[in-house]
Amino acid sequence: MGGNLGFETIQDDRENGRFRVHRGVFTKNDVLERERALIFDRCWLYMAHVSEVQKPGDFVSRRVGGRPLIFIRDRNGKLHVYFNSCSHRGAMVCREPSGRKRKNFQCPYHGWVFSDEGKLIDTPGPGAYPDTFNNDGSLDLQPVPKFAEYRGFVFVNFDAGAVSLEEYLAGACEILDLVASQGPQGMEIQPGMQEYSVRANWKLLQENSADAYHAGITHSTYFDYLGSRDESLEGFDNTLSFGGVRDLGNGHAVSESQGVMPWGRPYARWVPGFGKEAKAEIDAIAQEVIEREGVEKGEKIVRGDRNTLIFPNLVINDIMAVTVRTFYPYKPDYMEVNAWSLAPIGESPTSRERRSRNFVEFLGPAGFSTPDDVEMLALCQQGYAAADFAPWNDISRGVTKDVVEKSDELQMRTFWRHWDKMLKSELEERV
Amino acid sequence: MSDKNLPSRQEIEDFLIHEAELIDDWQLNEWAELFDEHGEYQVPPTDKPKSEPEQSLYLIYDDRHRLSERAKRQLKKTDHSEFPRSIVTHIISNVRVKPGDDDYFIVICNAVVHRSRLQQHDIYPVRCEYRIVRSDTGFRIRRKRVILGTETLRNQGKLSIII
Repeated sequence: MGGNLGFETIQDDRENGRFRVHRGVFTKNDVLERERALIFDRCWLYMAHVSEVQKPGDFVSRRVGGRPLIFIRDRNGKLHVYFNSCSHRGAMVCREPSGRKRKNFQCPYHGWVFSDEGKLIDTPGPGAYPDTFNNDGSLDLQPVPKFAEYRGFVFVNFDAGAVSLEEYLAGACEILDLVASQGPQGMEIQPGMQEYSVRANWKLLQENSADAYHAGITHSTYFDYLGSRDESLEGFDNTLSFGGVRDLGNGHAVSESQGVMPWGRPYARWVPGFGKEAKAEIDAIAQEVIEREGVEKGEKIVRGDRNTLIFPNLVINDIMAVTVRTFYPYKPDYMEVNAWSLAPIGESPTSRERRSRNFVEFLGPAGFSTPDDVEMLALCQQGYAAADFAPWNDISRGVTKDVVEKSDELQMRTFWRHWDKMLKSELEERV
Repeated sequence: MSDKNLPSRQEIEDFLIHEAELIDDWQLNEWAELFDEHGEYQVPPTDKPKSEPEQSLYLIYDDRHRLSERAKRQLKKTDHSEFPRSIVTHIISNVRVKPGDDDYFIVICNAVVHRSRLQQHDIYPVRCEYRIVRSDTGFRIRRKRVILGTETLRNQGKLSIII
Protein backbone atom coordinates (compact mmCIF):
# COMPACT_ATOMS: atom_id res chain seq x y z
CA MET A 1 0.00 0.00 0.00
CA GLY A 2 1.09 3.55 -0.62
CA GLY A 3 3.37 2.55 -3.45
CA ASN A 4 6.73 4.29 -3.35
CA LEU A 5 5.54 6.97 -0.97
CA GLY A 6 7.33 4.72 1.48
CA PHE A 7 4.60 4.49 4.08
CA GLU A 8 1.13 3.06 4.57
CA THR A 9 -1.31 5.92 4.00
CA ILE A 10 -4.56 4.45 5.34
CA GLN A 11 -5.58 1.26 7.15
CA ASP A 12 -9.14 0.25 6.32
CA ASP A 13 -9.71 -2.80 8.51
CA ARG A 14 -13.40 -3.55 8.08
CA GLU A 15 -13.17 -6.87 9.88
CA ASN A 16 -11.98 -5.39 13.15
CA GLY A 17 -13.73 -2.03 12.77
CA ARG A 18 -10.65 0.15 12.58
CA PHE A 19 -10.03 2.97 10.11
CA ARG A 20 -6.78 4.88 10.43
CA VAL A 21 -5.04 7.60 8.44
CA HIS A 22 -1.29 8.07 8.64
CA ARG A 23 -0.35 11.60 9.74
CA GLY A 24 2.39 11.72 7.14
CA VAL A 25 -0.28 12.50 4.55
CA PHE A 26 -0.63 15.94 6.16
CA THR A 27 3.05 16.84 6.35
CA LYS A 28 5.00 15.45 3.43
CA ASN A 29 5.90 17.45 0.35
CA ASP A 30 5.86 14.43 -1.94
CA VAL A 31 2.26 13.70 -0.90
CA LEU A 32 1.28 17.24 -1.90
CA GLU A 33 3.08 16.91 -5.23
CA ARG A 34 1.11 13.76 -6.00
CA GLU A 35 -2.13 15.35 -4.87
CA ARG A 36 -1.55 18.19 -7.32
CA ALA A 37 -0.87 15.85 -10.19
CA LEU A 38 -3.27 13.01 -9.42
CA ILE A 39 -6.16 14.76 -7.68
CA PHE A 40 -6.28 18.49 -8.40
CA ASP A 41 -5.26 18.03 -12.04
CA ARG A 42 -7.84 15.26 -12.55
CA CYS A 43 -10.92 16.28 -10.57
CA TRP A 44 -13.58 18.86 -11.29
CA LEU A 45 -12.74 21.93 -9.20
CA TYR A 46 -15.19 24.66 -8.22
CA MET A 47 -14.41 27.90 -10.06
CA ALA A 48 -17.30 30.29 -9.43
CA HIS A 49 -21.08 30.65 -9.43
CA VAL A 50 -22.68 31.74 -12.67
CA SER A 51 -24.38 34.64 -10.85
CA GLU A 52 -20.97 36.28 -10.47
CA VAL A 53 -20.95 37.02 -14.22
CA GLN A 54 -24.54 38.08 -14.87
CA LYS A 55 -24.05 40.68 -17.60
CA PRO A 56 -21.98 40.68 -20.81
CA GLY A 57 -18.38 41.58 -19.99
CA ASP A 58 -18.61 40.50 -16.33
CA PHE A 59 -15.58 38.58 -15.19
CA VAL A 60 -13.90 37.18 -12.11
CA SER A 61 -10.23 36.29 -11.93
CA ARG A 62 -9.00 33.97 -9.22
CA ARG A 63 -6.66 31.07 -8.61
CA VAL A 64 -8.25 27.65 -8.92
CA GLY A 65 -6.20 24.53 -8.39
CA GLY A 66 -3.22 26.85 -7.93
CA ARG A 67 -3.57 28.43 -11.38
CA PRO A 68 -4.68 31.94 -12.31
CA LEU A 69 -7.94 31.80 -14.28
CA ILE A 70 -10.38 34.27 -15.81
CA PHE A 71 -14.07 33.40 -15.93
CA ILE A 72 -15.91 35.79 -18.23
CA ARG A 73 -19.25 36.24 -19.98
CA ASP A 74 -18.39 37.72 -23.37
CA ARG A 75 -20.30 40.49 -25.16
CA ASN A 76 -22.55 37.87 -26.74
CA GLY A 77 -23.34 36.21 -23.43
CA LYS A 78 -21.13 33.17 -23.97
CA LEU A 79 -19.10 31.88 -20.99
CA HIS A 80 -15.34 31.27 -21.18
CA VAL A 81 -12.66 30.18 -18.77
CA TYR A 82 -9.07 30.79 -19.79
CA PHE A 83 -5.71 30.98 -18.10
CA ASN A 84 -4.74 34.44 -16.93
CA SER A 85 -1.32 34.45 -18.54
CA CYS A 86 -0.22 36.40 -21.61
CA SER A 87 0.79 34.26 -24.60
CA HIS A 88 3.78 36.57 -25.18
CA ARG A 89 5.79 36.42 -21.96
CA GLY A 90 3.34 35.05 -19.42
CA ALA A 91 2.32 38.05 -17.32
CA MET A 92 -1.16 38.00 -15.86
CA VAL A 93 -3.24 40.11 -18.24
CA CYS A 94 -5.94 40.78 -15.62
CA ARG A 95 -5.10 42.09 -12.19
CA GLU A 96 -8.57 42.94 -10.92
CA PRO A 97 -10.41 40.22 -8.95
CA SER A 98 -13.71 41.06 -10.64
CA GLY A 99 -15.33 43.66 -12.84
CA ARG A 100 -16.90 44.32 -16.19
CA LYS A 101 -14.85 44.53 -19.37
CA ARG A 102 -16.24 46.99 -21.87
CA LYS A 103 -13.66 45.93 -24.41
CA ASN A 104 -10.51 43.92 -23.99
CA PHE A 105 -7.75 42.72 -21.72
CA GLN A 106 -4.47 44.45 -22.43
CA CYS A 107 -1.35 42.88 -20.99
CA PRO A 108 0.42 45.54 -18.90
CA TYR A 109 3.89 44.32 -19.91
CA HIS A 110 4.19 44.83 -23.71
CA GLY A 111 0.60 45.71 -24.48
CA TRP A 112 -0.71 42.63 -26.26
CA VAL A 113 -4.47 42.88 -26.47
CA PHE A 114 -6.94 40.02 -26.05
CA SER A 115 -10.67 40.14 -26.71
CA ASP A 116 -13.31 39.09 -24.21
CA GLU A 117 -13.29 35.73 -26.02
CA GLY A 118 -9.57 35.40 -25.28
CA LYS A 119 -8.48 36.00 -28.91
CA LEU A 120 -5.24 37.87 -29.59
CA ILE A 121 -6.37 40.98 -31.47
CA ASP A 122 -3.41 43.36 -31.34
CA THR A 123 0.36 43.35 -30.90
CA PRO A 124 1.61 46.96 -30.63
CA GLY A 125 4.24 47.99 -33.18
CA PRO A 126 3.72 47.40 -36.91
CA GLY A 127 5.48 44.90 -39.15
CA ALA A 128 7.34 42.93 -36.53
CA TYR A 129 5.53 39.66 -36.98
CA PRO A 130 4.69 37.66 -40.13
CA ASP A 131 1.17 37.88 -41.56
CA THR A 132 0.53 34.29 -40.57
CA PHE A 133 1.23 35.06 -36.91
CA ASN A 134 -1.41 33.32 -34.77
CA ASN A 135 -3.24 31.79 -37.74
CA ASP A 136 -3.43 28.64 -35.64
CA GLY A 137 -4.80 30.49 -32.58
CA SER A 138 -1.91 29.31 -30.44
CA LEU A 139 -1.29 32.89 -29.27
CA ASP A 140 -4.80 33.35 -27.90
CA LEU A 141 -5.28 33.09 -24.16
CA GLN A 142 -5.29 29.37 -23.43
CA PRO A 143 -8.70 28.04 -22.51
CA VAL A 144 -8.93 25.56 -19.62
CA PRO A 145 -9.20 22.00 -20.95
CA LYS A 146 -12.77 21.68 -19.63
CA PHE A 147 -15.34 23.71 -17.80
CA ALA A 148 -19.00 23.02 -17.13
CA GLU A 149 -21.93 24.27 -15.10
CA TYR A 150 -24.36 22.35 -12.95
CA ARG A 151 -27.34 24.36 -11.63
CA GLY A 152 -25.28 27.54 -11.47
CA PHE A 153 -22.12 26.00 -10.00
CA VAL A 154 -19.24 26.35 -12.46
CA PHE A 155 -16.37 23.87 -12.33
CA VAL A 156 -13.15 23.50 -14.30
CA ASN A 157 -11.09 20.43 -15.06
CA PHE A 158 -7.43 20.44 -16.13
CA ASP A 159 -7.80 16.94 -17.59
CA ALA A 160 -9.19 17.02 -21.13
CA GLY A 161 -10.12 13.35 -20.79
CA ALA A 162 -12.19 13.76 -17.64
CA VAL A 163 -15.71 12.32 -17.32
CA SER A 164 -18.60 14.78 -17.57
CA LEU A 165 -19.28 17.04 -14.60
CA GLU A 166 -22.64 15.42 -13.93
CA GLU A 167 -21.15 11.92 -13.94
CA TYR A 168 -18.40 13.14 -11.62
CA LEU A 169 -20.82 14.80 -9.18
CA ALA A 170 -22.84 11.57 -9.00
CA GLY A 171 -25.06 11.64 -5.89
CA ALA A 172 -23.97 15.19 -5.05
CA CYS A 173 -26.23 16.42 -7.88
CA GLU A 174 -29.19 15.87 -5.56
CA ILE A 175 -27.67 18.16 -2.92
CA LEU A 176 -26.88 20.91 -5.44
CA ASP A 177 -30.47 20.58 -6.71
CA LEU A 178 -31.83 21.12 -3.20
CA VAL A 179 -29.70 24.21 -2.67
CA ALA A 180 -30.40 25.61 -6.13
CA SER A 181 -34.16 25.16 -5.63
CA GLN A 182 -34.42 27.41 -2.57
CA GLY A 183 -35.18 30.61 -4.44
CA PRO A 184 -38.07 30.72 -6.92
CA GLN A 185 -35.85 32.74 -9.28
CA GLY A 186 -32.66 30.80 -8.59
CA MET A 187 -29.64 31.60 -6.45
CA GLU A 188 -26.84 34.15 -6.41
CA ILE A 189 -23.58 34.77 -4.60
CA GLN A 190 -23.94 37.62 -2.10
CA PRO A 191 -21.30 40.33 -2.58
CA GLY A 192 -18.61 40.07 0.09
CA MET A 193 -16.09 37.28 -0.26
CA GLN A 194 -14.31 35.72 2.68
CA GLU A 195 -10.62 35.25 1.88
CA TYR A 196 -8.63 33.76 4.71
CA SER A 197 -6.16 30.97 5.37
CA VAL A 198 -5.45 28.11 7.71
CA ARG A 199 -2.00 26.97 8.75
CA ALA A 200 -2.93 23.36 8.30
CA ASN A 201 -3.20 20.71 5.64
CA TRP A 202 -6.14 21.15 3.26
CA LYS A 203 -7.61 17.71 3.93
CA LEU A 204 -8.24 18.69 7.54
CA LEU A 205 -10.71 21.34 6.41
CA GLN A 206 -12.58 18.88 4.21
CA GLU A 207 -12.83 16.55 7.23
CA ASN A 208 -13.84 19.36 9.57
CA SER A 209 -16.54 20.85 7.34
CA ALA A 210 -18.96 17.95 7.83
CA ASP A 211 -17.73 16.76 11.23
CA ALA A 212 -20.75 16.82 13.53
CA TYR A 213 -18.85 15.08 16.33
CA HIS A 214 -16.77 18.18 17.13
CA ALA A 215 -19.67 20.63 17.17
CA GLY A 216 -20.74 20.32 20.80
CA ILE A 217 -17.17 20.66 22.07
CA THR A 218 -15.32 22.97 19.69
CA HIS A 219 -18.36 25.21 19.25
CA SER A 220 -19.80 25.18 22.76
CA THR A 221 -19.59 28.99 22.89
CA TYR A 222 -21.76 29.20 19.78
CA PHE A 223 -24.41 27.07 21.44
CA ASP A 224 -24.07 29.27 24.56
CA TYR A 225 -24.88 32.21 22.28
CA LEU A 226 -27.93 30.49 20.80
CA GLY A 227 -29.04 29.66 24.33
CA SER A 228 -28.81 33.33 25.28
CA ARG A 229 -31.10 34.30 22.41
CA ASP A 230 -33.40 31.46 21.45
CA GLU A 231 -35.46 28.90 23.29
CA SER A 232 -34.56 26.37 20.61
CA LEU A 233 -31.81 24.63 22.60
CA GLU A 234 -34.37 22.88 24.79
CA GLY A 235 -34.21 19.15 24.11
CA PHE A 236 -31.34 19.57 21.62
CA ASP A 237 -28.86 16.69 21.73
CA ASN A 238 -25.53 18.45 21.39
CA THR A 239 -23.73 15.18 20.69
CA LEU A 240 -25.61 15.20 17.36
CA SER A 241 -26.49 11.51 17.68
CA PHE A 242 -29.22 11.73 15.08
CA GLY A 243 -29.62 12.31 11.37
CA GLY A 244 -27.43 10.42 8.96
CA VAL A 245 -24.47 10.35 6.61
CA ARG A 246 -24.54 9.20 3.00
CA ASP A 247 -21.77 8.26 0.61
CA LEU A 248 -22.66 10.13 -2.60
CA GLY A 249 -20.05 8.44 -4.78
CA ASN A 250 -16.64 9.56 -6.12
CA GLY A 251 -15.52 10.68 -2.66
CA HIS A 252 -18.50 12.99 -2.07
CA ALA A 253 -20.58 12.69 1.10
CA VAL A 254 -23.32 14.46 3.03
CA SER A 255 -24.08 14.68 6.73
CA GLU A 256 -27.75 15.56 7.12
CA SER A 257 -30.73 15.92 9.42
CA GLN A 258 -34.17 17.43 9.20
CA GLY A 259 -35.73 19.94 11.56
CA VAL A 260 -33.67 19.23 14.68
CA MET A 261 -30.78 21.68 14.60
CA PRO A 262 -31.29 24.60 16.96
CA TRP A 263 -30.38 27.49 14.69
CA GLY A 264 -32.77 29.40 12.47
CA ARG A 265 -32.79 29.15 8.69
CA PRO A 266 -33.72 32.16 6.58
CA TYR A 267 -35.11 29.64 4.02
CA ALA A 268 -36.96 28.73 6.15
CA ARG A 269 -37.08 27.72 9.80
CA TRP A 270 -38.17 30.33 12.29
CA VAL A 271 -36.53 30.59 15.72
CA PRO A 272 -37.34 33.11 18.47
CA GLY A 273 -34.12 35.01 17.78
CA PHE A 274 -35.57 36.13 14.43
CA GLY A 275 -38.30 37.99 16.35
CA LYS A 276 -42.06 37.43 16.32
CA GLU A 277 -42.53 39.86 13.45
CA ALA A 278 -40.43 37.61 11.19
CA LYS A 279 -42.53 34.49 11.69
CA ALA A 280 -45.20 35.24 9.10
CA GLU A 281 -42.65 35.92 6.34
CA ILE A 282 -40.55 32.85 7.14
CA ASP A 283 -43.62 30.63 7.22
CA ALA A 284 -44.71 32.06 3.86
CA ILE A 285 -41.25 31.36 2.39
CA ALA A 286 -41.48 27.74 3.54
CA GLN A 287 -45.00 27.46 2.14
CA GLU A 288 -43.93 28.81 -1.26
CA VAL A 289 -41.08 26.30 -1.53
CA ILE A 290 -43.29 23.38 -0.50
CA GLU A 291 -46.00 24.36 -2.98
CA ARG A 292 -43.45 24.78 -5.77
CA GLU A 293 -41.35 21.67 -5.13
CA GLY A 294 -43.85 19.29 -3.50
CA VAL A 295 -44.02 18.26 0.15
CA GLU A 296 -41.19 15.74 0.25
CA LYS A 297 -38.54 17.79 -1.56
CA GLY A 298 -39.89 21.05 -0.15
CA GLU A 299 -39.52 19.86 3.45
CA LYS A 300 -35.95 18.78 2.70
CA ILE A 301 -35.19 22.22 1.29
CA VAL A 302 -36.66 24.32 4.08
CA ARG A 303 -36.15 22.15 7.16
CA GLY A 304 -33.08 20.11 6.26
CA ASP A 305 -29.54 20.92 7.40
CA ARG A 306 -26.85 19.47 5.17
CA ASN A 307 -23.05 19.60 5.32
CA THR A 308 -21.85 18.38 1.94
CA LEU A 309 -18.33 17.49 0.87
CA ILE A 310 -17.68 17.45 -2.86
CA PHE A 311 -14.36 15.83 -3.61
CA PRO A 312 -11.72 17.10 -3.37
CA ASN A 313 -12.09 20.64 -2.02
CA LEU A 314 -15.64 22.01 -2.20
CA VAL A 315 -17.95 22.34 0.77
CA ILE A 316 -21.61 23.31 0.47
CA ASN A 317 -22.98 23.78 3.95
CA ASP A 318 -26.70 24.49 4.00
CA ILE A 319 -27.13 25.30 7.67
CA MET A 320 -27.95 28.68 9.30
CA ALA A 321 -27.25 30.10 5.82
CA VAL A 322 -25.69 28.54 2.74
CA THR A 323 -21.94 28.72 2.42
CA VAL A 324 -19.87 27.74 -0.59
CA ARG A 325 -16.30 27.13 0.52
CA THR A 326 -13.26 26.02 -1.42
CA PHE A 327 -9.58 25.83 -0.55
CA TYR A 328 -6.24 24.91 -2.01
CA PRO A 329 -2.91 23.90 -0.49
CA TYR A 330 0.12 26.04 -1.27
CA LYS A 331 2.22 24.07 1.21
CA PRO A 332 1.48 20.87 3.15
CA ASP A 333 0.76 22.99 6.23
CA TYR A 334 -0.92 26.00 4.60
CA MET A 335 -4.14 26.42 2.64
CA GLU A 336 -5.97 29.43 1.31
CA VAL A 337 -9.74 29.46 1.77
CA ASN A 338 -12.38 31.31 -0.26
CA ALA A 339 -15.94 31.31 1.02
CA TRP A 340 -19.18 32.92 -0.08
CA SER A 341 -22.82 33.13 0.90
CA LEU A 342 -25.31 31.71 -1.60
CA ALA A 343 -28.69 33.43 -1.42
CA PRO A 344 -32.00 33.39 -3.29
CA ILE A 345 -32.26 35.91 -6.14
CA GLY A 346 -34.97 38.42 -5.37
CA GLU A 347 -34.99 37.69 -1.64
CA SER A 348 -36.79 40.40 0.35
CA PRO A 349 -34.58 42.93 2.19
CA THR A 350 -35.83 41.65 5.56
CA SER A 351 -34.98 38.06 4.69
CA ARG A 352 -31.59 39.06 3.27
CA GLU A 353 -30.90 40.93 6.50
CA ARG A 354 -31.70 37.82 8.57
CA ARG A 355 -29.47 35.77 6.26
CA SER A 356 -26.50 38.12 6.56
CA ARG A 357 -26.75 38.21 10.35
CA ASN A 358 -27.31 34.47 10.60
CA PHE A 359 -24.40 33.57 8.33
CA VAL A 360 -21.78 35.39 10.39
CA GLU A 361 -23.15 34.34 13.77
CA PHE A 362 -21.36 31.06 13.04
CA LEU A 363 -19.48 31.19 9.75
CA GLY A 364 -16.49 33.11 8.49
CA PRO A 365 -13.17 34.31 9.85
CA ALA A 366 -14.83 36.54 12.47
CA GLY A 367 -17.88 34.36 13.25
CA PHE A 368 -18.53 32.60 16.54
CA SER A 369 -17.27 29.27 15.19
CA THR A 370 -14.96 29.36 12.17
CA PRO A 371 -12.05 30.88 14.16
CA ASP A 372 -12.28 27.93 16.54
CA ASP A 373 -12.18 25.51 13.62
CA VAL A 374 -9.13 27.31 12.24
CA GLU A 375 -7.53 26.91 15.68
CA MET A 376 -8.32 23.18 15.88
CA LEU A 377 -6.88 22.49 12.44
CA ALA A 378 -3.71 24.38 13.29
CA LEU A 379 -3.42 22.43 16.57
CA CYS A 380 -3.71 19.15 14.65
CA GLN A 381 -1.05 20.25 12.19
CA GLN A 382 1.29 21.19 15.04
CA GLY A 383 0.61 17.84 16.70
CA TYR A 384 1.70 16.04 13.53
CA ALA A 385 5.27 17.10 14.21
CA ALA A 386 5.15 14.05 16.52
CA ALA A 387 3.99 11.78 13.69
CA ASP A 388 7.15 9.67 13.71
CA PHE A 389 6.20 8.45 17.16
CA ALA A 390 2.39 8.98 17.12
CA PRO A 391 1.58 8.19 13.50
CA TRP A 392 -2.16 7.45 13.24
CA ASN A 393 -5.41 9.42 13.12
CA ASP A 394 -8.43 7.35 14.08
CA ILE A 395 -11.48 7.74 11.85
CA SER A 396 -13.39 4.66 13.05
CA ARG A 397 -16.41 6.31 14.66
CA GLY A 398 -19.57 4.41 13.69
CA VAL A 399 -17.64 1.98 11.49
CA THR A 400 -19.52 -1.11 12.70
CA LYS A 401 -22.97 0.51 12.94
CA ASP A 402 -25.81 -0.43 10.63
CA VAL A 403 -27.41 2.99 10.92
CA VAL A 404 -24.81 5.74 10.73
CA GLU A 405 -25.60 8.99 12.55
CA LYS A 406 -24.49 12.53 11.86
CA SER A 407 -21.82 12.40 14.56
CA ASP A 408 -20.18 9.33 13.00
CA GLU A 409 -17.24 9.53 10.62
CA LEU A 410 -18.48 7.81 7.47
CA GLN A 411 -18.20 11.08 5.52
CA MET A 412 -14.46 11.16 6.27
CA ARG A 413 -13.94 7.51 5.44
CA THR A 414 -15.70 8.18 2.14
CA PHE A 415 -13.25 10.99 1.42
CA TRP A 416 -10.21 9.02 2.46
CA ARG A 417 -11.07 5.87 0.53
CA HIS A 418 -11.44 7.88 -2.65
CA TRP A 419 -8.35 9.96 -1.94
CA ASP A 420 -6.30 6.83 -1.44
CA LYS A 421 -7.65 5.23 -4.59
CA MET A 422 -6.79 8.26 -6.70
CA LEU A 423 -3.31 8.52 -5.31
CA LYS A 424 -2.67 4.82 -5.93
CA SER A 425 -4.32 4.07 -9.24
CA GLU A 426 -1.79 6.13 -11.08
CA LEU A 427 1.12 4.57 -9.27
CA GLU A 428 -0.04 1.13 -10.30
CA GLU A 429 -0.48 2.25 -13.92
CA ARG A 430 2.96 3.77 -13.98
CA VAL A 431 4.75 0.71 -12.53
CA MET B 1 -24.96 67.67 16.06
CA SER B 2 -23.64 71.01 14.90
CA ASP B 3 -20.00 72.01 14.79
CA LYS B 4 -20.12 74.17 17.89
CA ASN B 5 -21.42 71.29 20.03
CA LEU B 6 -18.74 68.88 18.90
CA PRO B 7 -16.35 67.63 21.55
CA SER B 8 -12.69 68.51 21.20
CA ARG B 9 -10.32 66.09 19.59
CA GLN B 10 -8.58 65.66 22.93
CA GLU B 11 -11.80 64.62 24.67
CA ILE B 12 -12.42 62.09 21.96
CA GLU B 13 -8.88 60.82 21.99
CA ASP B 14 -9.21 60.22 25.72
CA PHE B 15 -12.32 58.17 25.04
CA LEU B 16 -10.72 56.16 22.22
CA ILE B 17 -7.65 55.47 24.31
CA HIS B 18 -9.91 54.32 27.15
CA GLU B 19 -11.71 51.95 24.79
CA ALA B 20 -8.42 50.60 23.46
CA GLU B 21 -7.15 50.06 26.97
CA LEU B 22 -10.22 48.00 27.88
CA ILE B 23 -9.69 45.77 24.84
CA ASP B 24 -5.96 45.42 25.35
CA ASP B 25 -6.56 44.56 29.04
CA TRP B 26 -9.26 42.00 28.17
CA GLN B 27 -11.93 43.94 30.08
CA LEU B 28 -14.33 43.05 27.34
CA ASN B 29 -17.61 43.21 29.28
CA GLU B 30 -16.66 46.76 30.19
CA TRP B 31 -15.87 47.37 26.51
CA ALA B 32 -19.37 46.19 25.56
CA GLU B 33 -20.83 48.60 28.13
CA LEU B 34 -19.35 51.50 26.15
CA PHE B 35 -22.09 50.89 23.56
CA ASP B 36 -25.50 52.43 24.03
CA GLU B 37 -28.67 50.35 23.96
CA HIS B 38 -28.83 50.47 20.15
CA GLY B 39 -25.11 49.87 19.76
CA GLU B 40 -23.74 48.02 16.75
CA TYR B 41 -20.30 46.62 15.93
CA GLN B 42 -19.50 45.98 12.27
CA VAL B 43 -16.68 44.86 9.99
CA PRO B 44 -17.33 45.03 6.21
CA PRO B 45 -15.85 42.37 3.91
CA THR B 46 -12.31 43.03 2.72
CA ASP B 47 -13.33 43.09 -0.96
CA LYS B 48 -16.25 45.52 -0.42
CA PRO B 49 -14.89 47.79 2.31
CA LYS B 50 -17.18 50.69 1.44
CA SER B 51 -20.40 48.70 1.11
CA GLU B 52 -23.32 48.90 3.50
CA PRO B 53 -24.52 45.74 5.29
CA GLU B 54 -27.65 45.70 3.10
CA GLN B 55 -25.38 45.35 0.06
CA SER B 56 -22.87 42.73 1.11
CA LEU B 57 -22.03 40.00 3.58
CA TYR B 58 -20.21 41.65 6.47
CA LEU B 59 -17.57 39.76 8.44
CA ILE B 60 -19.01 41.11 11.70
CA TYR B 61 -22.59 42.32 11.90
CA ASP B 62 -23.32 42.52 15.63
CA ASP B 63 -26.39 44.06 17.17
CA ARG B 64 -26.22 45.11 20.82
CA HIS B 65 -27.02 41.63 22.11
CA ARG B 66 -24.48 39.90 19.90
CA LEU B 67 -21.65 42.29 20.67
CA SER B 68 -22.07 41.73 24.40
CA GLU B 69 -22.22 37.97 23.74
CA ARG B 70 -19.06 38.32 21.63
CA ALA B 71 -17.35 39.92 24.64
CA LYS B 72 -18.58 37.16 26.98
CA ARG B 73 -17.53 34.44 24.54
CA GLN B 74 -14.02 35.81 24.25
CA LEU B 75 -13.58 35.66 28.01
CA LYS B 76 -14.31 31.92 28.16
CA LYS B 77 -11.67 29.22 28.10
CA THR B 78 -13.87 27.53 25.51
CA ASP B 79 -13.25 30.39 23.10
CA HIS B 80 -10.52 28.19 21.70
CA SER B 81 -9.11 30.67 19.21
CA GLU B 82 -8.35 33.02 22.12
CA PHE B 83 -7.23 30.56 24.75
CA PRO B 84 -4.58 31.21 25.82
CA ARG B 85 -5.41 34.86 25.25
CA SER B 86 -3.57 36.96 22.71
CA ILE B 87 -1.44 39.89 23.68
CA VAL B 88 -3.33 42.75 22.02
CA THR B 89 -1.92 46.23 21.45
CA HIS B 90 -3.86 49.10 19.92
CA ILE B 91 -2.11 52.14 18.46
CA ILE B 92 -4.54 54.92 17.57
CA SER B 93 -3.90 57.84 15.26
CA ASN B 94 -5.34 60.32 12.73
CA VAL B 95 -8.35 61.17 14.90
CA ARG B 96 -11.05 63.29 13.27
CA VAL B 97 -14.31 64.56 14.82
CA LYS B 98 -17.14 65.47 12.47
CA PRO B 99 -20.79 66.46 12.70
CA GLY B 100 -23.26 63.60 12.36
CA ASP B 101 -27.00 64.10 12.77
CA ASP B 102 -29.19 65.44 15.60
CA ASP B 103 -28.33 62.53 17.80
CA TYR B 104 -24.73 61.55 17.23
CA PHE B 105 -21.44 62.85 15.92
CA ILE B 106 -18.88 61.02 13.84
CA VAL B 107 -15.38 60.06 14.86
CA ILE B 108 -12.90 58.58 12.45
CA CYS B 109 -9.50 57.25 13.38
CA ASN B 110 -6.85 54.96 12.04
CA ALA B 111 -5.51 52.18 14.20
CA VAL B 112 -2.89 49.48 14.03
CA VAL B 113 -3.72 46.49 16.16
CA HIS B 114 -1.08 43.91 16.99
CA ARG B 115 -1.97 40.43 18.13
CA SER B 116 0.60 38.00 19.43
CA ARG B 117 -0.13 34.44 20.45
CA LEU B 118 1.46 30.99 20.17
CA GLN B 119 4.48 32.24 18.22
CA GLN B 120 2.26 34.03 15.74
CA HIS B 121 2.25 37.80 15.29
CA ASP B 122 -0.65 39.31 13.34
CA ILE B 123 -1.09 42.94 12.36
CA TYR B 124 -4.43 44.53 11.55
CA PRO B 125 -4.21 48.06 10.12
CA VAL B 126 -7.74 49.52 10.26
CA ARG B 127 -9.85 52.61 9.86
CA CYS B 128 -12.52 52.95 12.54
CA GLU B 129 -15.67 54.94 11.92
CA TYR B 130 -17.73 55.68 15.01
CA ARG B 131 -21.10 57.17 15.68
CA ILE B 132 -20.92 58.50 19.21
CA VAL B 133 -23.63 59.94 21.45
CA ARG B 134 -23.44 61.83 24.71
CA SER B 135 -25.07 60.29 27.78
CA ASP B 136 -25.30 61.13 31.49
CA THR B 137 -22.26 58.97 32.07
CA GLY B 138 -20.14 60.28 29.21
CA PHE B 139 -19.73 59.21 25.61
CA ARG B 140 -21.45 56.08 24.35
CA ILE B 141 -20.87 54.26 21.04
CA ARG B 142 -23.93 53.98 18.82
CA ARG B 143 -22.01 52.26 16.06
CA LYS B 144 -18.43 51.19 15.51
CA ARG B 145 -17.49 50.15 12.00
CA VAL B 146 -13.99 48.77 11.49
CA ILE B 147 -12.72 48.82 7.92
CA LEU B 148 -9.81 46.45 7.52
CA GLY B 149 -6.78 47.96 5.82
CA THR B 150 -5.73 44.64 4.34
CA GLU B 151 -6.75 43.24 0.98
CA THR B 152 -7.70 39.88 2.50
CA LEU B 153 -7.29 37.98 5.78
CA ARG B 154 -4.74 35.58 4.26
CA ASN B 155 -1.91 36.76 6.52
CA GLN B 156 -3.91 36.75 9.74
CA GLY B 157 -6.14 33.75 8.94
CA LYS B 158 -8.95 35.03 11.13
CA LEU B 159 -10.26 37.92 13.18
CA SER B 160 -10.72 36.42 16.62
CA ILE B 161 -9.99 39.51 18.73
CA ILE B 162 -12.02 42.67 19.11
CA ILE B 163 -10.45 45.44 17.07
